[in-house]
Amino acid sequence: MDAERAIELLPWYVNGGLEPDERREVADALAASADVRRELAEVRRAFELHGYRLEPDVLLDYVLGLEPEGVSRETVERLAGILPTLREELDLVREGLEALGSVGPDATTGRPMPKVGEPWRRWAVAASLLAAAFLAAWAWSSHRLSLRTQELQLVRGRLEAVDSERAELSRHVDDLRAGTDVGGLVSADLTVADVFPAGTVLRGGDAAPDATTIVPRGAERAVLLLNSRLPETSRVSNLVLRDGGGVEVWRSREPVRRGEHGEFALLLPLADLTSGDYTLELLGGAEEAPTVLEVYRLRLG
Amino acid sequence: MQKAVEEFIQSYLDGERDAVAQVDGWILAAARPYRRRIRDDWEDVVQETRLEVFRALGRGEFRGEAQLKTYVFRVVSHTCLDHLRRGERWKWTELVEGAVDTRVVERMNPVRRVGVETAELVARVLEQVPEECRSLWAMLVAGLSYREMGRAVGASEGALRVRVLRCRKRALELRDRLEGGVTEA
Repeated sequence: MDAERAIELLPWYVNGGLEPDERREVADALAASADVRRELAEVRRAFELHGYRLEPDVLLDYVLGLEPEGVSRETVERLAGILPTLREELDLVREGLEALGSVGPDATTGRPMPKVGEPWRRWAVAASLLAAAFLAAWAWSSHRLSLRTQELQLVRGRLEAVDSERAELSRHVDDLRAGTDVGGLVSADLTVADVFPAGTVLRGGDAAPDATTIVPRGAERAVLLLNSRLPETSRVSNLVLRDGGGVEVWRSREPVRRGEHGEFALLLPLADLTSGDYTLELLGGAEEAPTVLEVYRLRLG
Repeated sequence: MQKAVEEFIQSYLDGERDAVAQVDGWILAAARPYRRRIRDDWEDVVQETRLEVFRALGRGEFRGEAQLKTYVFRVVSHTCLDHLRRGERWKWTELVEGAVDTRVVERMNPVRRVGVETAELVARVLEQVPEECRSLWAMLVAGLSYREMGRAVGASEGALRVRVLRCRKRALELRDRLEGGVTEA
């Protein structure tokens, strides 16, 4: 494929709309041509412009009738008039608010939101009907509520287990950083792997863009020490684990933190993952549009 | 925070039936509109939201500045919107295969990236972009292939690709021209 055609196809390379053969050809053109790579950066700028999103808090403030931080209500309205995706998000947030009924309070003043005026007789009739419906549904709902309560107890149990596991991992990582008790880490249920990003050049050797770290499945869990070439000032946000097909299987819910030596630590539950190739992506950069800063290739097996 | 609210939250955290039912009702109501978009994942997202609410209230993150119901509405909306946005393929696709190191691309690009775009600048640029271009790029953002787009706009695939290229150049030229003269409200 020549560079000109590859450049024309770049928007669909980015949005995932190419056939596998075309996708491979565009990837080859990218590897071969600096012009195509420059154009790819421009295509991403265009996506970020046309796919622009406002922070969820801005949408929520707008729908709640508040003044969003950093963006005027008028700008939100102008953008909603232009961007269908933003319009749709605003509609969803608005519908959610309406579904809650008289949510009530203004988030800053605490004043109740004005209710739609209705003659008191209508309310009386509606209340009677509701009471009848309530009685009819009571037996059924009490059963459902019981299930919900049990479900919540399960959730609480899971949260406690997660917190306990997190504390355990923190202790292990602290031990490792202190250079002590390393032997105790590699046990029957826990292994440690030192992982380098794809494309790392080690001690003057050749670049190894496809370097894959093999994580043995003997243990139940693995602590991955993800080495990074990023400067200390780089803003990092999340880690994303994808399977061999590129499908996201896990994403960290909280921002990852860098260790004393610039590494990131991750506890991987091997028992929950099937054998095969995985890609771990470290995201960061601009808060509104994070990009992949480092890619780590793993093979479980 | 009012004492009654504190007690209600404690009841919820203790798993008392009425409190759990009340909060769960709010969560389900606020999450329901997203069901048609999230589809098969909706139950998982609702469960994720329950965890978020439980965790946030357990950590004392609700400080009583708004009503509890409004706070829950915010948590639900955040979780659902995050889930929807996570599914946008264009943010990740190029990187799945690792064919390109984006940091290299960014260094080669002499123009600042748009990631920190202000809302006002985006509005001004897109207002001046022709409707046809906005429509084509909206389809791209939605993940349509060029064959699907060609059928939708009644254009040959070749003509469509050239149109998209021209629209892209025009929008970015506008953006670069307007940048610098814009301040956010």
